[in-house]
Amino acid sequence: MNCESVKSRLSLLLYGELSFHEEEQLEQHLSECLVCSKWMQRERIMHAALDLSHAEAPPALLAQCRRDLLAGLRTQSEVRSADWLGLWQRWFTAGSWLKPVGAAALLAIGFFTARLTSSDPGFGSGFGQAGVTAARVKLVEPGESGQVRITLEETSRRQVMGRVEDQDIRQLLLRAAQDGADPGLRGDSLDLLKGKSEALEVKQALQRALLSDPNPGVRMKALEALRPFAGDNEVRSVLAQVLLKDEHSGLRTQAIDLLVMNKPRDMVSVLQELMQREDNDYIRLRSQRALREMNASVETF
Amino acid sequence: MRDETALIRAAQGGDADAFEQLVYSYDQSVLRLAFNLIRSQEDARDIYQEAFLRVHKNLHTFRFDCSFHTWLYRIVTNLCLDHLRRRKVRREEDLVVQTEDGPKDRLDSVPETSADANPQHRLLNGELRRRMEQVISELTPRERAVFQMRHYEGMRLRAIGEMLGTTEEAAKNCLFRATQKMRTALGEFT
Repeated sequence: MNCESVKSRLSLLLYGELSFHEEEQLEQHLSECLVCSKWMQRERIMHAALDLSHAEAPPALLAQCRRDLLAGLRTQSEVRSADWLGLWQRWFTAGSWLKPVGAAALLAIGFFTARLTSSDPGFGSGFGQAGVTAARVKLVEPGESGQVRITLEETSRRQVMGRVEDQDIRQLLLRAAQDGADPGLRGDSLDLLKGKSEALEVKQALQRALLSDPNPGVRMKALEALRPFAGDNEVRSVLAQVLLKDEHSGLRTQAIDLLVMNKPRDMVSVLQELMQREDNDYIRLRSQRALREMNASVETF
Repeated sequence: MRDETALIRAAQGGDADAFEQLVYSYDQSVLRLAFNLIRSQEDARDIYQEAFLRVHKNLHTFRFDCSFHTWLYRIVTNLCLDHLRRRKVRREEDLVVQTEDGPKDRLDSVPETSADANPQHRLLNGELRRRMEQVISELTPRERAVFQMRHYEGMRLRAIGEMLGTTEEAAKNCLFRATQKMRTALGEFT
């Protein structure tokens, strides 16, 4: 394997897309060729730099998309129903003998169309309803005289206004910050709460979101809000967990930038552990530099 | 919680709750992919909408020949590729766009991800990001899609090939060309 063919395969090596045999050959060459190992170093830096260009879709955009989708699905259902209605109307005018059949069919269509377009019992319960009250069929059972009894579960909407300092408002925001279904809502709530992050319950909610929110955009917001508290022991411990466990390299990058700011001795073991498991070159370099600056070993033995 | 196969079968049978759960399972990554490929919130929103409407309309044709993830991403990447090709023709890839308030850099709408407080690093990062955005926008739609899915979504080339209706080898060549172009364009920064 010559230098040119090695150079052309370096990025594939970093992506882990070479066969075992190719990888072996390449590693062998790199261990012997100084020029190519320098190319490898440059390739690693470029890979790390490319992470900078990754943008996370804002959580509010996701919420908007879901609302649009709900509306789109309703329109789709209405168009389909209207198509069927047109077909049946043509049938209806085709001949008088068909009229009783057509009438019965239109009645059935009317019933099902109303179900599809008004209550829309399925899709949309979590996406938000346009009406004031959203109803969901909870229980159906036979009633007396051939009737049926249907139990509906209804959710009413109302608005409350107040300042974030108000305890009730804050509690609602804290609850919304944990809404499992809507990352847009969680992100917006954290945004509103972050001005009050000195309050213990808010700080705890931010730490919780940073550690366990499934949406990286929301976690990023939580991390931003915790930035002023990067010196707190508790926050630093959360940042260390993010650094070691979060799958999103953008978040790990932010976490290490905050953690190594003051050359913290108590983070040496975390950084050493990081050196053993981290794939991102930028984070590895930052960690390596911080360890050297603290005269700590880069590896654990 | 139902497993994915059960969810798909239920959604195929008209269970709207199951469809909703399927959407929730995948829509964040779908939006992220579209947003990063298209680099426009408005267009990513259109792609998201169109993709899931198509899924809803055609779900009954899904026969489990491939994973649902592959099927969905095939729809999304095809929509993105079509969009990128159209945009290429319209030459809308310029980084600076004219707005009512005068010329505006499209990158200004992309959030800064680095927390580096050092102004010199920030400047360098800013310049690097700008250059990267430029070179990414100059990749062919296919190269861009492969690069995006491999580098940022962490998908294997075999899966990418399957999604794009091509071979692993062709996807590998696309990735190779894309990284080659970047290496050339970013040479002075590394």
